[in-house]
Amino acid sequence: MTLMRIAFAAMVWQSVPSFYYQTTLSHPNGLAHFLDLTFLMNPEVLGILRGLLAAAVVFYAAGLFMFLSLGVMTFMLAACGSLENSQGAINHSLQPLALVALAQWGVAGYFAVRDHVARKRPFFPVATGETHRRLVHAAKVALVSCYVTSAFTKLERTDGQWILRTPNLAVAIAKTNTKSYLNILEPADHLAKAVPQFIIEHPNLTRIFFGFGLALELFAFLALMGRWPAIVIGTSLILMHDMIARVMDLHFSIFERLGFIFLVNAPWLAVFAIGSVWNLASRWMRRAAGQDRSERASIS
Amino acid sequence: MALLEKISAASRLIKRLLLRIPFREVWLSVALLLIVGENYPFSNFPMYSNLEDEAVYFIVRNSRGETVPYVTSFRSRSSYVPKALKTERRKLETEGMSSEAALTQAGKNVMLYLLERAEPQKRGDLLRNGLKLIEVRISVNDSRLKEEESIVAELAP
Repeated sequence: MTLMRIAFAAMVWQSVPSFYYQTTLSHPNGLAHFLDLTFLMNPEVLGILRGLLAAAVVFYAAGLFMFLSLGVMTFMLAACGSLENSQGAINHSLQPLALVALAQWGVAGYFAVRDHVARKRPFFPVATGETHRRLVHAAKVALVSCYVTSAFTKLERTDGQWILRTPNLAVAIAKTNTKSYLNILEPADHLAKAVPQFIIEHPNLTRIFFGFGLALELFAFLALMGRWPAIVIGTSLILMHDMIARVMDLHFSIFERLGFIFLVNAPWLAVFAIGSVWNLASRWMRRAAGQDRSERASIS
Repeated sequence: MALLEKISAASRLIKRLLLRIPFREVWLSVALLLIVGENYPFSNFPMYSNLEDEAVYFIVRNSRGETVPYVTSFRSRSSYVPKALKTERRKLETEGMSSEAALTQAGKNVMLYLLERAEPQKRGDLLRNGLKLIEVRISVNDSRLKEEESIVAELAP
């Protein structure tokens, strides 16, 4: 769990920019509805806030003052994201990060109120193991909810016919390839150029393939059933994003990294693998020692 | 008093029922995301949810017909233009403009915004020859992709 916190803290720190170009918030979104976020464009103010964020991520990684540190992290992610999304175009790449921080902050707040107000426990800056487990669970809930919501939106907007319409992805992918090209005039790779025509020529295969993707999104909540379902679903989601990146040049690295941290849980997997190998090796050596003793006994 | 007891009993019953629903935190989160919609950090994640048989993208060209790259020229991205154009057009239509006039004006406003974002030393070059915002519609025709262009707005030199 410490490694999870360190990895998440690093992601939050990397996601908050150190500079914003001067711009107008012509289409307020999120926090911009309630707060004038132009203060973020002031380099001095942003510098101070980043200093507070630095302290917050360090405290969070260390497991100290969780409610306060998560509050600062959530505010900075929400404020920066709202500023960026208030300029006329919505970007979804950082949203899961802010949602995971918000979910953890809510849970930390609930436990702070329960322990210190309702149960009158003395204040202690270090969070308990139970709190950490709940925070990890909250992070997983927030992450899988993004996928389930995406699946529901797809089904709702197409009246349940999303899978039938997947051959239209040929047009969407061609558009995405061209839009990527228009950014720096670098042509798409061969695979990305070949896929639209492949989809046009094989519509049913396309429906089967993307149908699996929709099912994976819709049932992503099954990752909450335990460690192994989380590992299987987390790995599948990462592979899905990787394929989308190769075919459509659409990168959702934040989703992939969150999935890797909270679902795949590589440190636990590594410990499990090492432990299994160790147990197997011990059993093999004991069996070998046992056979050796019985051979010597039969000879004598 | 009886009413308070009834309310208390009802809330206990609802709590017991909620506790029986598996993955209840997920359903509550999903409901929240769908209801709140696109208000950061909440979103209903609508990417590729509308699979239309036609797609649109926008190119900025100068008067020599050369494509102007979004990142290196305007410090922006191609994904910005369609969303900004849609939002700006809707805003102008609610202010009373006709749909066509709103589209043209929105196109000009978006190009002016892009110019605002460009590095100051590049703005002169960009404006010197004028700029055009072109809409390209992609569709499938005879098992092949087809593209049709039309000019949305122009900024004179």
